[in-house]
Amino acid sequence: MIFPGRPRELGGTIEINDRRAVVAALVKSSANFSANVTIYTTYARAVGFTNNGRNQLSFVVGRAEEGVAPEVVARRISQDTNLRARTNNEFKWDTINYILANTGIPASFGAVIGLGIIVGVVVAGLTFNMFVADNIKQFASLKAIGVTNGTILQMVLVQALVVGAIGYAIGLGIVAWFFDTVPKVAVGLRGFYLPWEIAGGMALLTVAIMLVASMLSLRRVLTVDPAVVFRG
Amino acid sequence: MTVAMNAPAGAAISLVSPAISCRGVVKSFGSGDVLIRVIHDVDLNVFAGQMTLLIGPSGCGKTTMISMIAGILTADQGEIDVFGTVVTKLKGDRLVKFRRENIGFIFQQFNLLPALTATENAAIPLIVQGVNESRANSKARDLLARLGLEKHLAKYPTQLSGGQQQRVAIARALVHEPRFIVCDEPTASLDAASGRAAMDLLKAAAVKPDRAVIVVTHDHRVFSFADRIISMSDGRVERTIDDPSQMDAN
Repeated sequence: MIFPGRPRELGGTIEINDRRAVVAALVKSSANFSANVTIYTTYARAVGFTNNGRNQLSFVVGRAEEGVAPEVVARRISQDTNLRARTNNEFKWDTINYILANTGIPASFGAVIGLGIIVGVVVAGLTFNMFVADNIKQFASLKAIGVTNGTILQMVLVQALVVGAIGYAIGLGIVAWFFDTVPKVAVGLRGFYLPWEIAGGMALLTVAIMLVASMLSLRRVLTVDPAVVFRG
Repeated sequence: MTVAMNAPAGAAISLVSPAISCRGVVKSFGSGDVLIRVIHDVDLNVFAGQMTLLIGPSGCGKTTMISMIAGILTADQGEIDVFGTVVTKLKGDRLVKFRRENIGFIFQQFNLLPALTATENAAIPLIVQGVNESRANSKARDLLARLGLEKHLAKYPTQLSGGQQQRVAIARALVHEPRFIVCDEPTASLDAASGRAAMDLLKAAAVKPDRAVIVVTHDHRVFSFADRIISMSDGRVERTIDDPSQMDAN
């Protein structure tokens, strides 16, 4: 868009709203969410490039002097100019809250995540059911021998958690590799990363899925009549 | 081969007073119009120091009978006494504990846990009783070695032949030195030679003066191993043969 048919090069010139601009640096930033081009320049040049004067600027990025808290600076700017000034963290949360409140992203992403959980529970539940069905005589034998339901419950839960942990480790490894590798070659994925909160949340979700899936199958184990061991 | 027992020193072993006695045992399945009585007022005795065979055609009730004697099925009526404990009066955890401490099971399909080695399978009853795992495995290894499986201790059930799996099952039934061994068609999944070998082992290892062994079978080839045979038909005891050597196997 900025360099149509030309290589991107430092020192090259481009035209913005009939004004000549010299490229002083190329920034490897994350992909812009709204697909607009982001140009970093000084305040004075930005006013000139926009043609609309200083009142039409969406954002002005500033940096607090060393030793001065950004929160203090932001409050002071708001008081003095009657404009909205936010710190880095406040701006991040403003953006997130705006997207949550005004776009369909939470619903669509939520539906995908919800579907993933349902598929996870169903697949894990069916797998556990097959495991239980295949081993029902062995479970019945254990009950006949004198193993209590409590011990069988522990056995199945330990198995579920071990299987869940292995699956989680493999899944997290693939996701970590993806976020570490793919954004380096796919510009559109720059800025994607794996925060520890997501990794931790997925761990809890995996435990929950394995517990629900194993509970669905456990009923069959706990109610199996040990006398089935004597039926052929 | 020697397999030690838990019986109190000097415990009297008598053929006159049975180790296991069933009196007036009745069992039905289903309800309402489809209520089917499968055991009709059965009285039978099993004596310690003997291998008792429970025989009869399929559906005659022999499996139901041993399930009730072993405390994994509840009788509708009657009383079952196993070494002085009235099993029919036990419920819940007390019944599970009784089975855990007093009964060894050998199943037709062996029912070994596929994820465990021969040693680990044989050690299960001890571990269930709370015995330290290394001690339980050590005892299981000794017993398996005495049953001729010293080269197969670390093998999984799928790596063993049917006869070897049955020997592991025999070890699992004996390792905790129970007073009562219940075998359900122990030779049904084995060829003739393996079946004879399993019965030889079972008789040598399991039959002890203070232990009762009951084998459900309709395999005529194993009748010669019996000390006593109880024949069932249509949910009733048809006859009891105290001297099987006099019996015509055909």
